[in-house]
Amino acid sequence: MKKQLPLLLGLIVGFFAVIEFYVPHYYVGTVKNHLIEWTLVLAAGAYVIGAINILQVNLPKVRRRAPDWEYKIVLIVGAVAMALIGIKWHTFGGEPNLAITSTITKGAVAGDVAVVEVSSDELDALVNVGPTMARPLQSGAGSFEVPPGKHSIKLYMKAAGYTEVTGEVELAAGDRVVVTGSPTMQWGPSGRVFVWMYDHVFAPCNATMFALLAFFVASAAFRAFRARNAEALLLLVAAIVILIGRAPMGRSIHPLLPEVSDWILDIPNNAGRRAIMMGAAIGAIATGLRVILGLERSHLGSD
Amino acid sequence: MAAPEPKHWTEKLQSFDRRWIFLAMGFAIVLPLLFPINLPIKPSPMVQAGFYTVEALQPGDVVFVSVDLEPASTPELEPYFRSVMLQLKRKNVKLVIATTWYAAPPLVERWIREMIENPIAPEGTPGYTAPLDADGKPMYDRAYKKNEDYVWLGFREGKAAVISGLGSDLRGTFDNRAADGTPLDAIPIMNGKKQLKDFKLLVLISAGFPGIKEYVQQVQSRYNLRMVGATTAVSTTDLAPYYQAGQLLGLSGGLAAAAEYETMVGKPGLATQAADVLNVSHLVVILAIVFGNFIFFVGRRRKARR
Amino acid sequence: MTELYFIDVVGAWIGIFLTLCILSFLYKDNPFYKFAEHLFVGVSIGYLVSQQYYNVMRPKLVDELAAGFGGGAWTHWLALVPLVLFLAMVVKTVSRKFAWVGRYPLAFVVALFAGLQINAVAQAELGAQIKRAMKDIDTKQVDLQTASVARLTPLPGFTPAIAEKVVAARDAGAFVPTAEGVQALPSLTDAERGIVADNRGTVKGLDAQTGKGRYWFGIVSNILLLLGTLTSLLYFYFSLATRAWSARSRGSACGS
Repeated sequence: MKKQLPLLLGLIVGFFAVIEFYVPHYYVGTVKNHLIEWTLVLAAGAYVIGAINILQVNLPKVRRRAPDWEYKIVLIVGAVAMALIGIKWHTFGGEPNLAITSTITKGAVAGDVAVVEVSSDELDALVNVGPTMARPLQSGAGSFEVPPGKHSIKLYMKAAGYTEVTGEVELAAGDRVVVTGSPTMQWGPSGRVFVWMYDHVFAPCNATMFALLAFFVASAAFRAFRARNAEALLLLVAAIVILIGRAPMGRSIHPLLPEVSDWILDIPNNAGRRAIMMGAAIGAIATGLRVILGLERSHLGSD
Repeated sequence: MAAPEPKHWTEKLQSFDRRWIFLAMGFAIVLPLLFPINLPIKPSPMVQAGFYTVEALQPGDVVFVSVDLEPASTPELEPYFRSVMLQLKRKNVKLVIATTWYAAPPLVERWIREMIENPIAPEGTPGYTAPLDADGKPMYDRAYKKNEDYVWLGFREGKAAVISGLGSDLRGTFDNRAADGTPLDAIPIMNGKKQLKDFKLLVLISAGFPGIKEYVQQVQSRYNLRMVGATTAVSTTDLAPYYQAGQLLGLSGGLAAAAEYETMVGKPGLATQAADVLNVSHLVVILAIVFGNFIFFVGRRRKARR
Repeated sequence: MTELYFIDVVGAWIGIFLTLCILSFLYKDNPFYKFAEHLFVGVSIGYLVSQQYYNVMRPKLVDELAAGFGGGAWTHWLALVPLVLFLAMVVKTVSRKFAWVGRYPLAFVVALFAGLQINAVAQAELGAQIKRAMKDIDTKQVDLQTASVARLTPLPGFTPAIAEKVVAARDAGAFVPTAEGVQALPSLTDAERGIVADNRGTVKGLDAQTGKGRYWFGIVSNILLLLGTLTSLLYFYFSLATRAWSARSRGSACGS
């Protein structure tokens, strides 16, 4: 029963997922949407559990001083630090104030203009009054002349990870309004520190890891790409034509090269890819049916 | 005992230290950035088709943009994003932006701040001539306002399932809120937008899985959606059949295609600069293949003679 | 140029340092590379946990259940289903004795994905691709005298603007319906004339694709496309490779 019931669940869910495609009924669509929502939760949950699992695997290695155990400490510290930075601490004890406070004094300014005086605890905040471009505050204060009317006001920081404080004021000629508001530093996925870590640790490492491939491709091209037979020779000739044709230098060498490169992409490549797609599609359908019908059980593990 | 026979030069070369090749590749990447070559760039038919599809949009149309990438793919995809945003913004097309990759949100938020909430090529930008509208006035892009001109919906996990969910219930997938918590009902450009088919066009910028392929599989055929896309060079051959079958209305594949797109939009940028790197690094790879095979065949013939 | 905060300058240098640490792997494996690699993995783990929680689990699980407890509609209680399944996954991770409960969420997710894929690939990869593969091989040239703007635009050397000018000249009766005639149109700008001139060609270019006859290069390409598709299909489904062919190929085509 430990396997039969999950297989029955799979049969019902899988069968429904297939049938809903052909049944344009409102309630069928609603059920499908709920099933998708639950799947999204489980997919996200799988990542969270994977993270827990990585800690489960690495903590014992540190305890028993396995090879490279010092680097596992770096890994664990990095993970815990980033997870803690990713918590929205600024919302604990209530959401921060995102609205400006304003006090209007009528008739305080001569002429047909109004004056907006902005002050903020963040000394280098930026302010937009109406459609104007961002203006920096000087030591947390700024004064701007505006025409009478309704104006939207936005106080924000030039760095990412701070809240925006916004509001609207309606001014007549001669009014002076004192606007106060302070963008708060955020924590969590949109927070200052989190984005800083992403920009200066995650992104450079992610990009450079991928960039290593370029070097290994060049090395593989020298050492491993051998024309041992006619098919391999054809492959290498096509590869060279595409390499030249896809770069701007191809046109400079001969105007036909990009045309040949495009033709290879359009005809032989698409012919082969189309066949692969069709074959893979039939395989995917067969495998999908096997999973739904319970003939394929490897994903459930052994008893 | 006889002295060992000295290695033939082909044998020495076949096993020489690969770090010299890494060094050559390093020079091939750095030198063109310092000494640009600036070869002309001619757009290919797939890139042209994508450009003209976007160009056919009208002011006020609402477009769904899915940015599914990570920092590793930004050299190939950021130039396309910048160019297509310029093209869309100067036509005053409204944007609904989302992502299905967990590594994308901070990157997308930065691009929104830099390229959507600020003009990309305002009046007076050196080297840029804005196209003219029907009345003969130059069309410049402007700073877009959050939740008025564009909406950032955020990230949802789920691979193919989330894309299927976008197709049937976009609002429910994003819990009826934008990423900043604003209810979608309070955002005018989301009026009547419940599914992907309610958008005039889908612009997909994807680095892998899930991406354009999953959008084509899950939603394009089912809801008969109009889609254009940009992807990495590695995925281009995989997606070209979709373009040929009409499931994609345009496809920009890799850095070279991004440079072509920049040329069509009229604002050369990072991809055009990096095209020189492409030229030289491709040359290095070709020389490596040719030289490697030359050494192999000379060595083989020598062994056959002995 | 926008001034950076000091902390962002420090961050930029940290990014440079980590980039060089990883590139040092090209020389050989070393402690700097290992440090950067482990730091990257650790930060990635923390990063994705935060993203997944706040973007998916919080709105779809926590907030839904909170709304249910807060007296909202009964549909909020449906979030108990993914909660139970998620807890089953957690149990599978932490307990060997009760790992079997983890089969339920796995069966659910795998079966749902399988069901979604079946229709998706049948329509997008079988249906649409077979339809394209069965397209008519015969390709006629585009008749410049009658083609619409939409039909003219994909031609080499044409842009929508050029297509509209051709149609306008045609309607005005002042147009010779040949590639030469297009290039000679007085309403074209110099740049447009240059684009047209660049794409003239008697094999694949504008001259080959316009007229009242057949586009022979297109026909040959379509035949090759169909033959290529059929050959590949036969190869995959009926393993047409003979023993002699397999012996000749001997391992991968580009193996060392």
